[in-house]
Amino acid sequence: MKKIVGIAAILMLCFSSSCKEDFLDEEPLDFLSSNNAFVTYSDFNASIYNLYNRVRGEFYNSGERRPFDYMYGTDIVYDGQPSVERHTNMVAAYAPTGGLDIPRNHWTSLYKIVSEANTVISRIPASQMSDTEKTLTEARGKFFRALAYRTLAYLYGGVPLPLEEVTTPKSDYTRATKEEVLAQVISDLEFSAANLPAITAVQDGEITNLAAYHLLAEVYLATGQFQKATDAATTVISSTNVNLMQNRFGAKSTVTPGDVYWDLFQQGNQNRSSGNREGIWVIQFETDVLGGGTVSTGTGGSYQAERNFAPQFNNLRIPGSNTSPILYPRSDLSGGRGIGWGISTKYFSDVIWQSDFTNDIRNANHNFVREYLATNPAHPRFGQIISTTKPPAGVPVPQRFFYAYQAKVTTPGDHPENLFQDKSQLLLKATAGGTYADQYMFRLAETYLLRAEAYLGLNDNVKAAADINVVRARAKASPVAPSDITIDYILDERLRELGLEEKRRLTLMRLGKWYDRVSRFNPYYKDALPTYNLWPIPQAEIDRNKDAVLEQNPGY
Amino acid sequence: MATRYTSHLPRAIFFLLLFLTVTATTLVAQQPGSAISGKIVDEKGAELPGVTVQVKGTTIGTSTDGSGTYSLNVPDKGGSLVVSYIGYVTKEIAIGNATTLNVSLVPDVKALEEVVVVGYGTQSKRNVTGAVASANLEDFQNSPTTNIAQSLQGTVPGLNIGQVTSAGSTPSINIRGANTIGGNRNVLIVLDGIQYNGSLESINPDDIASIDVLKDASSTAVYGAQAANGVLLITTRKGKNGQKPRISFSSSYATQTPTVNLRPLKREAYLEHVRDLYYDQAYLAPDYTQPNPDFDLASKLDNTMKDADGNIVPFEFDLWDQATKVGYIQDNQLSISGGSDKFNYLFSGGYTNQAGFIINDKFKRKSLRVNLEAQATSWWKVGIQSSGSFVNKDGAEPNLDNIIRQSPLIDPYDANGNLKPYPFETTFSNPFLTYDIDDYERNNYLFANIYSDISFPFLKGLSYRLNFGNNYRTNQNYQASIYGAGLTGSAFKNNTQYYDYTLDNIVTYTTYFGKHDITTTLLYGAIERQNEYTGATATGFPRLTLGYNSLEQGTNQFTYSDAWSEALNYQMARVNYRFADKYLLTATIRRDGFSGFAANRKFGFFPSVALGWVLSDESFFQPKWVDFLKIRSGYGISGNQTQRYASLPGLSGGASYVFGEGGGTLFGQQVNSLANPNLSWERTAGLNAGVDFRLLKNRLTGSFDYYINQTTDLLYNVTLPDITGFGSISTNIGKLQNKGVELSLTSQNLDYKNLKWSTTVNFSRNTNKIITLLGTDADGDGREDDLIGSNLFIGRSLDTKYTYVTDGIYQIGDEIPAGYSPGTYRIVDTNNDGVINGNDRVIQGRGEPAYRVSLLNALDYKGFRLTVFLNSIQGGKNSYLDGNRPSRIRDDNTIRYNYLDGIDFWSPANPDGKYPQSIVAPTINADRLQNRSFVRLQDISLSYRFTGDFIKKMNIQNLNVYISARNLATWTNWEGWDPEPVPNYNQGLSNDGRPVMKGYSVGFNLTL
Repeated sequence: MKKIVGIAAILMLCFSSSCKEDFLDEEPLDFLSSNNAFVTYSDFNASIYNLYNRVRGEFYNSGERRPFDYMYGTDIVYDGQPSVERHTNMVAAYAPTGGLDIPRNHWTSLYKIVSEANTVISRIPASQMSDTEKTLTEARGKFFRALAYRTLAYLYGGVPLPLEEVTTPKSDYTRATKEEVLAQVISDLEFSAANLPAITAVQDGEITNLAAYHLLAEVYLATGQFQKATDAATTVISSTNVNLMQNRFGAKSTVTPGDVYWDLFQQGNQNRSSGNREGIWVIQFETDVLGGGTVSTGTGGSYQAERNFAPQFNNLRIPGSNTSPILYPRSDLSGGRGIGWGISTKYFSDVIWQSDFTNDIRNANHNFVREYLATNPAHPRFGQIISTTKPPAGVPVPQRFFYAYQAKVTTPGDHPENLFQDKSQLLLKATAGGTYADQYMFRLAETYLLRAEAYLGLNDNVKAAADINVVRARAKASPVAPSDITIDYILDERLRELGLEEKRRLTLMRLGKWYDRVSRFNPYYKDALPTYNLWPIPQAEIDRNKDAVLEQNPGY
Repeated sequence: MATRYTSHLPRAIFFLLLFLTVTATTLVAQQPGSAISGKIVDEKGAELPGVTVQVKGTTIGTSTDGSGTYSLNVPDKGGSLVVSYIGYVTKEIAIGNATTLNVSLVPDVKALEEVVVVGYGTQSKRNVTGAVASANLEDFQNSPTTNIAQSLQGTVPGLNIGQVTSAGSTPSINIRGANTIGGNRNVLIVLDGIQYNGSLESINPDDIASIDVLKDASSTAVYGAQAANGVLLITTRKGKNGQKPRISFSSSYATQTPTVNLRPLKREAYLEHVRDLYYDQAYLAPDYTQPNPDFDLASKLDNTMKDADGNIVPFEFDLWDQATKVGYIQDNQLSISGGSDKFNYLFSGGYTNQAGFIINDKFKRKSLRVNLEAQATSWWKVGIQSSGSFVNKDGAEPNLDNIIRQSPLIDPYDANGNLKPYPFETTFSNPFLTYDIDDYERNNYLFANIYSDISFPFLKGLSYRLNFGNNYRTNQNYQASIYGAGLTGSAFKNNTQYYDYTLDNIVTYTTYFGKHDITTTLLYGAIERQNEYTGATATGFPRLTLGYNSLEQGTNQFTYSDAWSEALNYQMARVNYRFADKYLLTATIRRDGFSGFAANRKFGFFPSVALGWVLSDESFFQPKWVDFLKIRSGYGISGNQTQRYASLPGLSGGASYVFGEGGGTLFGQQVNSLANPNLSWERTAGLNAGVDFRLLKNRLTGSFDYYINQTTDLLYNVTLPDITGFGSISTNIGKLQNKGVELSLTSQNLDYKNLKWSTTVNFSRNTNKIITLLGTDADGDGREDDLIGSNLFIGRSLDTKYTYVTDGIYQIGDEIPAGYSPGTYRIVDTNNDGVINGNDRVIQGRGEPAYRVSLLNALDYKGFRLTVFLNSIQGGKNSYLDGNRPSRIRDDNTIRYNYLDGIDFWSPANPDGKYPQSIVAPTINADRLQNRSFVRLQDISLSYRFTGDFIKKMNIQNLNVYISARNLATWTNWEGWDPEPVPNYNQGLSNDGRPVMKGYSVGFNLTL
């Protein structure tokens, strides 16, 4: 028996010595852990770059549908192909549960921006950054947090307001009031405005003190602090580093027809490096570069404004012929490869232009396209102009295959090489549809209109009109009289200047005027209800927040 | 091709092979002394080859040859010979002065009983205390299947094998229901004693000698934290000592056609669907059944289906016919096995070639196996089990979904015979774009387990076994397509390499004294697994002539790589105790460490104990009709591991942004998961009680088991509000219960010399119930809250069907609430609050089956054998339900797209249609729950074994020929591709489903 014990002991000894102490320690091989990812300035910058990317995704390139929730269901366009995806059947589109979960999609995306920004802000004190770097990082983090909370507050009203990194599970959130949320946004933006670098000190596309002031002006408006709003806007407007572009500039400054407004939206003309001094915060797109946000090999991943808002001419038929008079898809003023989902409302294409239909350069045919050249040699009308204002007999307007649209959604002649099926004919492939240009998140013309709104709030119609007229003067439109200034007038001017550029839904919801404007100016959405002035809190979120009650918005 | 890969074989294997060969030759050397010889026969006088004959108390010995004779040199007369043979009582005979000693052996009744593999050892079935079943491989070996798991379908109660729909694929395998919500659901597969986590596609079914299934926790506990889903023990064939070379060749050919006749609509029906979607214009108000003479169907169709004058083209193209063809399975197997007295060998090679019904659904497997074992010295045995399997799945399928959706009025080819990339002129791509590409897909599997078995000469019964098992796998997936990346051309190469080793030290000590039999097993082992992946992609090729082999020709180039590793370290102790051959006890404990366990929980303990009582051996046991009766019961705890890295707070990174024109890529990072330093394994505690019996002179045999398993600390991604920035956190919650019964019964109905008929019935039933989840009662109603968002309900099964109730379809003229229109489901306001919303969902049943039952009949008449196997899964009234959800809502694409034929859509002219079709989408659409219950004639086989002079003259040991068929008929009310679920496919009336194959097979097996 002793022998067995001896043998067993020897065996066991040699087994147990075969394993190292750290044999079971776990070290991930292909990802970082948050324990070692927030030390240096580079670490924090990586998080900031991701925030840029998330913002770009939320508002521009996360697909062909969700970024455009900021346009569909408002007063600017309606759905050329009825689908809940584009807010046809609003009961379904804005349902708190089920269906497409449109409100939830944006809720989740915006709160991810909040949580990433919170992580950045919370990790700063323990980092190894210099004090300057710490301040700069904090200013950046707070800017993105403010942008997300401001958007949440406009869309949903008061929302939960966490400000710290989440490291342990939490499910007892309650809604702060809308005022509390916006107060936090203002506090964050004031810090950012004071500490972000000047627009001359950054790379193209980076956030700056002016971007913070611009956003601050808007949020002051949302809280009714009109004087502060004018002050913030004035800081931007009075900066010598920015001004409205008055003369032609950039890569296509000699192309005709064209004008300064047209130049603002041509490929490569948004950043300061092109000479543009009007952009305040430009969202960056760089084709076929990792992280560039747009590709030439398909529409996926790109900003798909062209696809959504330009008409789809292949099915246009004029009685007497069985082909379309307009070649499609073609990289010219016909709109590239649009598919006519977002048809301009008559209000957007006709009503708002009436006073200055011919002199307002923003309404010139190369900016708001109404007259199309028949480019199909096989069509009897080849070479003629087909106009939406005087359509041929038997051709209804607007329809998905024929309507007036704003040319800023496309890049005529400037589609990437890969997208041309036949460059000599400018014919595109079916994979076209992206918009291959940088995009203005904030532009100085809007700052003027924000300040006009603030002056109107202060009952100073004269100054309000003066600001609006700065914008109108550049557009060669006749000046507006102070007595004509109303909030509706400003909203119309925003359509004229910022159509398909501003996030229209946010403007209307900020002002609580979503229902009012949609019911008056977009007859397509007959099922609009005052309830939809705010989106619902997503039901899934209410369910998951099991340890406290998230109150639902009224009417849902 | 094979030679290209053998270079990857660890060099050690070659050295060992060399070593074994040398050892084997030296063993043949004879020793000097006086000679003795004789013949060993069985009780009927038949010669016994391979019988061990040894001089008692020495290492001198030999074994009998093919004719049962032996000869031996013995050092001096007067000793005795020990004659032993597996399955026979060992005999000891004094040598005296004899020079010839003939011995007749009698069978050992107890030893004749089946031996089962139980994990780190084998055991006589008679002495097993847990729920262990052996699969019936013999009756299904002629079935036209290419994956061993497929042939187990329905044959072992409690072992639930799913359906497959593509060539060579491995079905889902589950034992006794789902013990986890969010954890790993795979059974643990142990191949020749070594854990195997690769695909079963690599295993040549012909190489398998036995498959044993460990079902209850008392038997699986030896595998600790990986065993909660049950264990499948696969043992490969090996040669037999003292057997002359046995050469086997078999070959078969089978057809592959779908079991259902589903296909897309043809021309007229396709056009009809456009009219149906435009019923408000194509037919006249108010009831829309009279055609509207002014309706211009052409105006609604895509331009691609009209000629220059705007008329509908008279063309029809049968894409389905082009995309499918009768498939086949070719299978060829060759093996050579045998052995001398101290060495045995098996060499085998197989080639399987399967083509499915959908073109390019291909599977080819070349497999090689070498199993060798040498008795190096009287106390030391070494061996190797090794295999290489080379799977080729080259060729890509056309996109089946697009095949169904493409219009029959469009030619997918242009006038020059080239594919039209976008036949509709939308972004919808030609289904053949995914087919007309260069696709290279190879999976190579190398396995070798080298073992050493020492029976310590100084202490009888003490042995030490060392297993060193190695798995090496590579996966190569390369593709080049001129249509990729928006017709600019794309190509990629993805390479994955995997390696694991298992090092097991097993000490076994068997002893007996008096009526006590004790076997003790001690285990110490470690496993390390490593995986790495490298991928390279390029797009935008001016020329794709060189395909994926010259990615640098692409304009945009991308590279990817990742890697993971994990390690296990474990110890196990087991005692098998037997008293008077009647009272049985098994007790085990395992300590399991895993790198993936969270920092605070690196090790877990998994104990078990089981008792058995052979009642029929008791003197007081009277019934004469009972030949054998054992009752057994066991309790044990096994676990389910966490996923590696699941407890860590991970960040993802990648290219994020570019500032300015021509700027460089900036890389970002994002926090993706919350840390959980206390994340631990799931614990499944199981109680099993069963009986094994043989009745009526062994005419009726079977076993019955009852079990109840409770899993606690369930691994679950508890959802968090998105406000946190994390959708969920991995954590341990709740309690889940599975209980059920299993019955297996075999009856020898007829047992004559030339006519035998046996019937086997297998029955199993499992019910699954969530006992508790988070344990919170936020709504204060006195009962724990369900997790509705995750479809988890207290007191209900995991696959509870919680959905809307539909009450037919809204008809024209009905009063219809906002958000709905004619042709949409009438959703019932179940809570009568006046609105239809999520609160109207109710529990309507469950997706799990009520019970499974199968019936195998085998009839032998002279050389003929007929087997008929029926398999069935039944749902009863409200189980085995699943949602079937075809629906059509008018939009551009639903007009354009084609659909499966035979879907009963609503229309004004078909007001009783089952499935919704409407002009506007409803606010809420719903599933139509249907019962999946089915009975399937799964396998039928007729074989004939040749006998007589011809066979003897040709020196053939065995020749049989067969015809067989699989999935000949299925009886079900389920509508769609197949009633049995297939992971990742919707087998209802959906474009996402795939047909299950029916096959007829002919073949033969020849053994020389």
